Amino acid sequence: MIFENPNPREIAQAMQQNAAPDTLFVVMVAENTPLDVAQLMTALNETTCQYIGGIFPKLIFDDKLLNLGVIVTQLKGLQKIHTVRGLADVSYALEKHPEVLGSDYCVFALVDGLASGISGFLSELYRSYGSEIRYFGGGAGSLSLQQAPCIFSREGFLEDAAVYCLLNQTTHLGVKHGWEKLGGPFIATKTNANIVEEINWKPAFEVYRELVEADSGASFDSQAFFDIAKGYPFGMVREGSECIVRDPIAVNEQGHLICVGEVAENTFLNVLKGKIDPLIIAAGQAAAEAADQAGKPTAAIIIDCISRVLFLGDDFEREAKAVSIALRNKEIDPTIRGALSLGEISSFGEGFLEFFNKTTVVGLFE
Amino acid sequence: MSGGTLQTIFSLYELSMAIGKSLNYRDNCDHFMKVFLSRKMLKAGWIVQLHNNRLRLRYAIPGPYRPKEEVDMDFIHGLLNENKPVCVSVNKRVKDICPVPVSGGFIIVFPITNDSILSVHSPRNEPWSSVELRQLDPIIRKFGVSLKASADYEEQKLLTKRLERNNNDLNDYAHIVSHDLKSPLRNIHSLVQWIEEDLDSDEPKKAATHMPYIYSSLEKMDSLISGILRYSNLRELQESLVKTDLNKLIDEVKSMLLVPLGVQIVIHEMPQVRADRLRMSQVFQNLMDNALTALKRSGDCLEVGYKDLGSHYEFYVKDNGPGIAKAHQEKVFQVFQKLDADSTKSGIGLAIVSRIVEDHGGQIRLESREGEGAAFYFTHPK
Repeated sequence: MIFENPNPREIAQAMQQNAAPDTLFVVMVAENTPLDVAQLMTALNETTCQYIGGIFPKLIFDDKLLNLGVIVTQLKGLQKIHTVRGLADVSYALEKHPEVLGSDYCVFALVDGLASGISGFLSELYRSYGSEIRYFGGGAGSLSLQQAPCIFSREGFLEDAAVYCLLNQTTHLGVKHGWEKLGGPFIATKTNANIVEEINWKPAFEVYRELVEADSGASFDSQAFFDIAKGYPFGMVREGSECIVRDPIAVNEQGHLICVGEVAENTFLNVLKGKIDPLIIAAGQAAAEAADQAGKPTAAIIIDCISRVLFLGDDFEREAKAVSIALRNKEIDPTIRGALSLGEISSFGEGFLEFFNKTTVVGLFE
Repeated sequence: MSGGTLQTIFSLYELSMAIGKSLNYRDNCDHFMKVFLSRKMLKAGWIVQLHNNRLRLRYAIPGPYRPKEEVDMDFIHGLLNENKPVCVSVNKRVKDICPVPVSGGFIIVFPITNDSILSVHSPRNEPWSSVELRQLDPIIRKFGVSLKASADYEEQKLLTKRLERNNNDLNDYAHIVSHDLKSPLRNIHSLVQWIEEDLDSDEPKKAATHMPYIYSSLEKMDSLISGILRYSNLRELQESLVKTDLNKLIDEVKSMLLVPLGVQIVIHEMPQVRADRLRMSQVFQNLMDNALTALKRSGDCLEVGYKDLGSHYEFYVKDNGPGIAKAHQEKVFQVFQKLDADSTKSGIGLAIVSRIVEDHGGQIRLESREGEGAAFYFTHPK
C-alpha cells in the first residue's frame, strides 16, 4: 500500500481491511510528509492491526524515490512485537527465545538510527535469537541528523529505542555496498562510541584529511565536511567478507570524526572510496543475491542508506533501477518498496549481527 | 612487508587490544568475543571450564540452549590434553558438545588456561590453517589470563560483599538485643509490677487481665529469638550445587502452603537450575508464603514464572494483593523488618531469601504499587 497524500483514517481503514492476527504492518513515513504521527497512531490504535513504523528521510517504491508519502508493507507469521527503550543504557537484557529457531524465522527490527548503543542492542538480539534465523531492518531518523522520536508502535512514538518482532516467515536477504579501499590499514586508537578521536595515535581528522584531500583534490577548508566525506567512509575490516562501512558525517572542534554507528577502540580501519558504477552494481547484486534464493515472495523490501543517495545524487535513480531490474530478471512479483535509512541491519546466518552504513539490503519475504 | 602480512598484524593487534576491557567476567568475554566473531566471520563462541570434576559453561554467544550436563566429558578432556588449538569439522560428536546449534563448517578449539577451553564455530568450508591457529594461540591464552583475573576479582568482590553483610548482621543483632528484645522485656517488667500491685490490693481478677499481654510479649520474644537462630544457622551454600527441577521443587513447596479459600496459584513451566535444593526451596516457600498472607479476597492470584535472559534466569513471584507502600520497599530485605503488626512473624523471611539468592550469585528486587500487588524478581546464573 502506498499513500502519496496520506490521511490517518484512510491508512487505518486500508490496513484494517487486510488485517489478520498474524499479520505485521510495517509503516514507513517520509520525514517531510505533512502527517501528524500522533494522529496516525491514534487511528491505527483503533484498529486491530499489529504494526511497527518509522520516520525515514525518503522512501523507495519500485525504482522511484519518494520525498513525501507513506508506504505500508504486510508481512506474515507475526509472533510478537517487542519494544526496547533506552538503547544508550547498556544494562538491559533481552528475553532469550526458549526454542532453537531456524532459517524459517526472521527478526524484523527498526531502531533509532541516531541512538548510541545500536551495536549493543544488535548483540543482545543475536544472543537472544541465535545465529540461524534471519535479521532484517534499519535505522529510522531525520536527515537533519537531530535525534527525535522516529519509531512507533502501540507502545508509543519513541526515540533512543528499537522495535522488533519475530516472524515465522522464510526470508531471503542480499547485502552489498560496493565501496573500495583507498588507504590503510589504520587503527582507531581512541574512540568514544560513535566518535573517532584518534587514528594511529594522531587526531583523527588530521590523518583522514591528508588521505582524502590528496585523493579528491578538494579541500576541507573550502568545502563543507560532509560534501567531501560522503565519498570517503571508513571500512571496518572483516575476513572473507565486505568490510562494515562507517560513515563520518561531521568533524568537531577537537578534530574528532563523528560517525553513524559505533567504532570500538582499536578497530582496524581502512578509508574507502566510492565510485558510482561499482556502487550501483553492488546494489543490483544485493537484489540478485536475495532473488537467487527466493521462491514466490509475497513482499520485497529494500533498506538503502540515505548517504548513498547523497553521494550518488541523480545517479541514485540508476541504483534503484538496478535493484528493480535484478528482481524482475528473476521474476520476483511484488513491487519492491522500502526506505532510505540511517543504518542498515541484515544477517542471514553468515556470522555476527552488525549495524551497517552506506549499504543496500534487500529482503524477500516468502 | 606485503599487504596480507600487514593486514594480519593489524587484525591480531585489534583482537589483542579487545582483551581485558572489563573486570566483570561476562563483559570481558563480550568485548573480546564480539570482535573475534565479527572480524573472523564466526557464528558462535563459548567457554567451558572444568571445575571440581564438573564441566561448567562459563560463557556463550548466542545464548546457550543445550543443558551443560549433556556434554561429552571424555571429548573435552581430550581437547584439553592436546594443549594446542585444534580445528575439527562439524560432525555428530562435535555437535553434541556445542551449547548452540551448529551445522557445517568447523569448530576451532583453543585452550585458554589449564582447565578452560574457548570454542568458536566458523561456517567457512575450509579448515583454519596451522599458521592461523599458531598466530591466534598466544592471543587467546592472554585472553584466558585476563578471564582468570576477572574471575578472581569477582570472587573477591563476592567475599567482600559477604563480609559487609556479616558486619551489617552484627549491627542488626546488636540492635535486636538492645531494642527489639528489650522492648517486650520492659513490657513484661511493667506488667509484672502491675500484677503485684493488683494482688497487693487484693484484686486478683484485675491482675489476671494483664496475663494475655505478658503472653503476647513472650510470643514476640520467642519469635525474635527463633528468627535470629534461623538466620544465623543459615549455612553456606554447598560447594557442589545440584541440578534442580524447579517444577518439582515448587510443587513440593505448594503442598506445604496454606492457601486461602478462593485464591488461585498459577505456576508456569519452570527450568532446571543448578542450586542448593533446600535453600532454593526456602526461597520459593518464603516468597509464596509472604504473598499468600497478603491475599484474602476470592479471585486473588499468586503467579510464579521466569524469563530466560541468556546468561541467567529471572524468576518472579507476583501477587495482586494490596501491594507494599513505597516507604517500606527499601527495608523489606533487611533483618526483622515486618510490614504488619502480626507478632507471630519474625520479619526474617525476606532477609533469608535475599541472602540465599545472593549466595547463588543472583540479585533480588521488589516492584510494587500500593493497591496493585507486589512482584519479587530474582536472578539466578545459569
